[in-house]
Amino acid sequence: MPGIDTSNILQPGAISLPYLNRALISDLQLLSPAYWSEYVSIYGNEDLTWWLSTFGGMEEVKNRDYFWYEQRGKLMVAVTNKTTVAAGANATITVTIIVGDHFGSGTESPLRVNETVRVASTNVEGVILTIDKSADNAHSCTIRPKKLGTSLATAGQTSLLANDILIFGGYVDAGEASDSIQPLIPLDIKRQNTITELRDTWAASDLAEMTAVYYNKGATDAGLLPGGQQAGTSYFTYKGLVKAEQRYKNYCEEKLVFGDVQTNTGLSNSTGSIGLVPNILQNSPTLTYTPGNLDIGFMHLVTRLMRVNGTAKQAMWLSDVFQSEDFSDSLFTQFAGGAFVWGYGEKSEEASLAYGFRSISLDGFLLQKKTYENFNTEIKTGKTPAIDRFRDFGIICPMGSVPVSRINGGGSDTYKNISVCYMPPPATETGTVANGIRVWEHGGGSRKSSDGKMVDYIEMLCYRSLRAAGLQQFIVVDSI
Amino acid sequence: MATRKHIQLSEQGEEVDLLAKQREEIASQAAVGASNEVPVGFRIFKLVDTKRGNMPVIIQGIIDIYNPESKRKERVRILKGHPEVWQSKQKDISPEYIRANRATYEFQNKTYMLNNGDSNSCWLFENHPCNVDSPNKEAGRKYYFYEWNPERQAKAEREMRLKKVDAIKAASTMPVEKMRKHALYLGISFSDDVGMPKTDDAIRNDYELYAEAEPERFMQSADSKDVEISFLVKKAIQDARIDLGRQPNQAFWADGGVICRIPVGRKEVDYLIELALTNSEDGKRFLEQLQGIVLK
Repeated sequence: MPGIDTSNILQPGAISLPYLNRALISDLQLLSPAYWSEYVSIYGNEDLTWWLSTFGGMEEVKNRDYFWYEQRGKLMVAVTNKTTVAAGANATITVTIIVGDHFGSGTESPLRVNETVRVASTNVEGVILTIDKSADNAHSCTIRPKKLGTSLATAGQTSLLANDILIFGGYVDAGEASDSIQPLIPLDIKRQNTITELRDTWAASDLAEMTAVYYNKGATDAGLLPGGQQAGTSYFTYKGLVKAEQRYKNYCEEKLVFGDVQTNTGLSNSTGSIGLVPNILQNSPTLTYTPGNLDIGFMHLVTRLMRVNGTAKQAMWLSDVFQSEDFSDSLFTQFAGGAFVWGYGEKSEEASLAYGFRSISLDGFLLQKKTYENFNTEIKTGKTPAIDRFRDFGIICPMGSVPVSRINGGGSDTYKNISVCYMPPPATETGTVANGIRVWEHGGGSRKSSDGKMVDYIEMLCYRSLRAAGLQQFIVVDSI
Repeated sequence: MATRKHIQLSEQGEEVDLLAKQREEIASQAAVGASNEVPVGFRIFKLVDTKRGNMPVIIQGIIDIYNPESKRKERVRILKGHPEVWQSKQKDISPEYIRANRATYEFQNKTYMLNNGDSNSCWLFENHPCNVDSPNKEAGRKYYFYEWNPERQAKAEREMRLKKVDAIKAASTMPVEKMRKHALYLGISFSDDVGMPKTDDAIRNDYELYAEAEPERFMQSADSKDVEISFLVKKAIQDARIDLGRQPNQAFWADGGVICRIPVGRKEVDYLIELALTNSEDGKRFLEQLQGIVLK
C-alpha cells in the first residue's frame, strides 16, 4: 500500500555545523536592521520666510486690484533750465524749463508770475515777470535779477547754462497793495498692485501613507499649517507633507519679494503681482559699487541719499551673503582688531561700530545690517549660477511708516512701508483658513473622503500681494 | 580832535569810491568774459533700462577695466584732483583724501551730463564695461548706459518710421481673404461695440491701425504658417467640428474621435494651435485631419 504523500514538506529541516554562526542567520534573512530612527535634515532650518512676517504688516483688502495715493514730489519746488541763455548784469532773461518739469502731457508746470527764484549755483535772486505756457513741454518765463549789479548767469559764466537749477523762493518782496498769486497745487501719484493666487498641493496614495519606514522622528513641523493632516501613518509621507508646506510658504514669500506681474499671452488668467525688489528697482534710488569697496566713504553716500529721500532714521540693510561679508571686511579693516571702537580718535564722533551687534550709527541714522539668504541661489537651492542677479546685492528698507494721504486733511493713520495685503479665501468644511491661508483635504484617501480614488490630497492656497509705500525711501545697493 | 566830519563818517560809513568800484566790476566782467572763450560742453549718457522710474542711479568711479599696457584687468579709481586713473599708480595718497575725493556719477531721470573738461571721467565713461559702445563692454552687468548720439537716435527713429510705413502699405493692399485670416490671428475683433459683424472695410481699418502700432509683429506674422493654422483651428471650433465641451481638459472631433488632452491652466485654442505646429506624430496627424475637415 503506498505511503502518505509528503512531497509538500520541505527538506532538510536541519543541518549540521560545528557551531551555529552569524553567516547562517544572515542567509536565513533573520538579521534585524540596526538603524537610527531619526530623520536628519542636513541643511538645517530652510524656513526663509522670517523677514516679511516679522517686519511687514498684514492688511486685508476687498478686491484683487488695490491702490493708494502718494505725494508726487518734494514739497519745495525747483526747475531746471533747458537751454543756455546769455545773462548780463541786471538783464531780464528768458528761461525754458526741461521736459521733466512738466505735467499733464506737458501742459502744466510750476511756473507762476511773481515767484522768486534763486540760481542754485550763485544764490542770486530773481523774480518771474511773465510766463508762456503755449508750447507743451517747453514752458518758458522771463526772469529779472532782484539786486542791482547781479546777473542770473551760472557761477563763473556769462550765461545761465543748461541744467542749472532755479530754486523757487515763494511770493516774497510782494510790495505795497500787492495782488494775489496763483497757488502751487501739490500733486499726487497713484500707486497700485494686484493680488495674486499662490497655491500648491501635496498628494500621496493610500499605500504610500500606510507604509512604515525606518525613521519616525526628525521632521521639523513647528510651522505646519493647520487644516491639513495626512490620513495615513507613514512618517515618510508625513515628512513630505511638512516639507511641502514649508516650501509653499517660502514660495509665497519669494513671490512677494521677487515676483512680477503676468502680462504675456498663452498663460493662466492671473495678473500676477509686482514684488518688493522689482518695485524698488524701478522706483527707488540705486547706489552701485564695485565689490570690495564698501567703506565709510560709501556709507556717507548712503546716508546722504537717505536724507534726501526722507528715509526713516532707523533702517534695515538686507544684503546677500557676499555683500554682507564685503561690508564687514571693508568697514572693520578701518578699525584695529574689529572691536568696539567708541573713543577711537576723532572718528568716534562719526561712526561707532559694535562688532557682533551688526548695527551702525552714522550721520544721525541707525542702520541694522542683516543677511537675507534668499538673495543667493546657491544657499536657497544648491545650484550656483554663473550670473546671479542678486549676488552682491542689498536693499535698505526704512523701518517706519508713511502717513496716509488724506484729501480732507488731518488723520493720524499711517501705513507701514511694507504690508502684506491679502484677500481672505472662502471658508471650507474640509480644512481651515488661518492667517489668510486656506488648507484643505480632499480625495478618497483623505480623512474627509470626497471621491472613490484612494489618493490623499492636501491643498494650500492664499491670495496675497505686497504694498510698498514711499518707495523713494528705499535704497538699492547693487554691484555694477 | 573830534570833528563833525568824524561823527558823520562814523554814522554814515565810509564814502565809497564809485569810480574805483566801477573799474573793478569792468575788470571782473572782462576776465569772466575772456575765460568763456573756451567752450564748455557736455556729453550726455543715458541708462539703457527705460523701464526704470525717475529715481537716481549712482555709479561710482571705481571699476575694473582691461589695461592694454599691463595686458590685464586693473582697478580704475577716479579721484577728484588726481591725474592718474589707475589705482596702482595712485601713490602716497592718504585714506582721508581718497574718502573725500572719490568720484560718483548720478544719473538723474536716467541721464548723466558729463562735463567735457573732466578728462578722467570722460575716459572712464568711454572705457567703462557698462558702456554698450565701449571696447571693454562686458556681458552680465546689471546696469548699462550709452552715449546720447542724436544721429544714431534719428537713424533708429527713421528706421522705425519706415517699418510703420511698410506695414501700413502691406495692410492696405492685402487681399481680403488673407487679411481676414491674419486679422483673426492678431486678435482683431470681427464685431463692433454693439456686437454687429464688421464690414471688410471696418476690419481693414483696424488692421491698418494694428500695423501702425506693431509693425514688426505685423510683418513677421503676415506670411507665417501660424496664421493659416490658427485660422484652421478657430474655424473648426467655430463650425463645431472640434468639441471642447464634452469633457473638461480634453478636445474631441465632433464625430467622436479624441484629439488630445489639454493641460490644466492652458487655453484650449492656444494649445491646439501649438499642437498643429509641432513636428510630432500627433501634431502632424492633427494638422492633416484639420486640413481635411476645414478645407473640404
